Amino acid sequence: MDIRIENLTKTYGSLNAVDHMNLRINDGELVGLLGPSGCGKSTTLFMLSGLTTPTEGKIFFGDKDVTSIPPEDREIGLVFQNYALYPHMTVEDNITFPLINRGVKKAQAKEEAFEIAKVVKIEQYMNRKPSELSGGQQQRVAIARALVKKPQVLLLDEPLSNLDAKLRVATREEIRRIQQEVKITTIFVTHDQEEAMSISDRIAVMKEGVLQQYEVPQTMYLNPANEFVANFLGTPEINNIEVEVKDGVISAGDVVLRRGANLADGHYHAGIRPESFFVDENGISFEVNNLRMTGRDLLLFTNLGQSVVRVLVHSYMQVSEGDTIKASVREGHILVFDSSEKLIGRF
Amino acid sequence: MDKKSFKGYLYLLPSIIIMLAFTIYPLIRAIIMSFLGDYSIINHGYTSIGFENYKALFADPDFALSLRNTTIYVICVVPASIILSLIIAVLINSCTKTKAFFQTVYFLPYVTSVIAIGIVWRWMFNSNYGLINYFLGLFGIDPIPWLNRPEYAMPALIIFAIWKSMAFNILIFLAGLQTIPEDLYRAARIDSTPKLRVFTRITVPQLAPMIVYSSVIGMIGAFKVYNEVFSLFQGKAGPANKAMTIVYFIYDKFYNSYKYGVAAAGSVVLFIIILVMTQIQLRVTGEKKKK
Amino acid sequence: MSQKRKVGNVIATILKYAVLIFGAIFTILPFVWMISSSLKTPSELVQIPPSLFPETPQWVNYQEAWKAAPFARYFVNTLIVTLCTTCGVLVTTVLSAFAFSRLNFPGKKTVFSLFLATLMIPGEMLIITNYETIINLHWIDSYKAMIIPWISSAFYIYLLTRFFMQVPESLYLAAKVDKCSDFKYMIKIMVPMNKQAIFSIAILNIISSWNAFLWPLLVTNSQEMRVLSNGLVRFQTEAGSSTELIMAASCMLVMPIIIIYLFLRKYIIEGVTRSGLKG
Repeated sequence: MDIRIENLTKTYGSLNAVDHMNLRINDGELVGLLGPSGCGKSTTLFMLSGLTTPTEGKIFFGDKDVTSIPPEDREIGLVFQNYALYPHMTVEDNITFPLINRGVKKAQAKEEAFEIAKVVKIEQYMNRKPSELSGGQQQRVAIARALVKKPQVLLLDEPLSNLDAKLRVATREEIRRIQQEVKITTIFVTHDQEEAMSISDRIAVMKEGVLQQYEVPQTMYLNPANEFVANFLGTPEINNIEVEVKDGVISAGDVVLRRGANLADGHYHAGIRPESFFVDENGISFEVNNLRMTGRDLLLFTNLGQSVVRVLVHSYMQVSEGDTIKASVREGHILVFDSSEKLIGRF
Repeated sequence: MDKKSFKGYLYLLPSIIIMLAFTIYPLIRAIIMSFLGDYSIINHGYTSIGFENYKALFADPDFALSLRNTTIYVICVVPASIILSLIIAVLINSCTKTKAFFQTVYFLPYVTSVIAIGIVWRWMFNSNYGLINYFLGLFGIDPIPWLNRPEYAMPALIIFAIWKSMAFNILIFLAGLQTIPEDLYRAARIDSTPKLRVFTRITVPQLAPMIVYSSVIGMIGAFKVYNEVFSLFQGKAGPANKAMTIVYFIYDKFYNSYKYGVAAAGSVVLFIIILVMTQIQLRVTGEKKKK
Repeated sequence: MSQKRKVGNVIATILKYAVLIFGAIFTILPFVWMISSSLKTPSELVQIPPSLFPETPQWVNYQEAWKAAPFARYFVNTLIVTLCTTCGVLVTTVLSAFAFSRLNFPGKKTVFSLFLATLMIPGEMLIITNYETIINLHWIDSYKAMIIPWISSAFYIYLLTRFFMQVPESLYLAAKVDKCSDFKYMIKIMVPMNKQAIFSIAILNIISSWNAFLWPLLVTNSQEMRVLSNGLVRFQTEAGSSTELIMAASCMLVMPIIIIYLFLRKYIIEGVTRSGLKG
């Protein structure tokens, strides 16, 4: 089932929680709605579910306008942030609950519940109460309950936020696997960019109710539409540098970063990712002020012009505080933004 | 500061004195008295020691009647009040703008004097000019002599008691409803659960601890009912004392018949009944907590 | 289909309000009827069909009832008993709750369990002996008799102890470091921090004292010492068939509490809820 969102708007008083959003999601894709808290991503999800009524705009599932269809008739599965499992019912009762609501016979419902429980790998816990399960298991029960009625769309609200760090990585892979196995159009909300990038087919980044960019993760990372997206994606964070362009030369303070750039003269914001630097004998000299070992990489703190700059190098490189290293920026990895923060080129 | 000192008792002193004088001592004395016969000034001793009072108590037809009436009262008032309160609470909870208004109205009976409002009910139950018989008359029902005929005394008392007891139950259920996560209802909605099924499969099980609590509190209160009877029947236990309750029986024996021993025995029986109720409640709520 | 659902929703809403409004009328009917009856003429009272409101409100009924029995005296008595009891309850409750929640003394757990255990004793059981005690103390027909036995409540102590326990222990330790005495800590920190809970306890106690009936009836004989609820019952017997006067007298007993309730319902409802959900 493909989904189309047209001019979707939700206003609370004078606040635009979601502002004229347009989005098209292809059948069977896994899409991450990403943004900081209060950006409108959960509101968008709840409008897709029908629990929240849009102020304006339309939502299509396939060719059908579902905007005014109540949640119970939308054929969706929704997994809540805190799972919302019925605490007094067993896992099996929780999963069969939606089926029995639809008048499925008990035996049939049990059979279907067992099938879906096998998919999410909780079939051995069918007789337990939710409180006797771990967070990850509860999560999978919630997914099973959402999927058992064979919905057209699966919606997940911050599915991993209640899990500890280790479980989060394992569970997000699980979600991806289940989604691929069931081949269901899935939308999930998250504030964690790494989570979004690692499992989504596409990511929609939102800020203050406005959709910033909708792209395949890799493309978005390399070609962020604006400074906000560039800043939001990637750890360690991208370096923000004030640059000046004169006769095609991009420089930060006295340091020349690039020659022959096709850019009008003037001052710009630029972004360079820490991993965009490479060690180069003929490069720029950086004095290492501070360093931090992260395991695979070594993160160096240096100065470039007026700004503090983070540079990632391989962890086997021998550097210590006060040393000077020489490095350059990879071709096409200087992102230059205009005064409205839009990306105008990569140099 | 971990040093223990007796200073704490200084703070507790007023409460301890009151408690010893007006709770512990009378409790022990009531138990002892229930085993002693009348005090004879001539012999400077008690006429009997043992279970004489209890024998007299259980032989007394009024006590048997009071047990029967109290049981009927409990069986009728508690479930009816709980079911009605549950429905009203769920309906109030689903309102948004009018919620506070309804909550205020429905809680009103809780704060009012049973004596005063009992007198009003007495007026409403009046066979000739009462509002209730007037309404029944609109449906073609002949006037009922609510307060003058033994067979209608208990129904009148029960109607009054349900009216009075709903306030507390509604309040407790409303508070309980607040603690049910909204997401459970959203999930149920997404799962297209019929409204009745939401009520029976989510609301009621989630409210189970409050329902048990309200039932036990209601039962304890029902076993102690007195003011309602006094005000509705103008100081009597109904026509021909047919609405006799346990507490009314105890007071009557003690205040009017001066049978202290029998009254004490009656109060010990009441104490045991209430102790059992409280234990049941503690057992049930304790188990819930363990889970 | 969605049209059908909309119609269904509208019907459900109408039904819901119908039930709620019917229930609300059932709930307030006795109050309305009490007020309306208290303002009627004797002939209006027995009129069939009954009228909801009197043609001209007979305010004179209140004057007559007020004169027919010493209600002013009853009113003052009730006020004295209610206020003294409530002050006493507040003092003993705060002191005891503080001892149980912060002070360390031998046998604390045992004493606290004992206090809790007394909650299971029906007060009705104690009245026989307490009545004797009052006679032996020669307190019959005095304010003391109506006040002293009620100035301590294990239930409120338990309730407030739980509130006091929620105040972080670190505050107490910090105050100790600052050389704050226990008593000063209680007055300056614990009481202000829990003033809402204490206020709720005060109002709940005011309501129960005001409405108290049986105990004052037992321990008073003379008209001078009678409280409103006893006076009302006595008046009901004396006034016989003057229903409008009885209703006016009932109003005098009920209305002060209803007015308090309407103004402070937030505290009352919260207090009852908290004490109700103690489990």
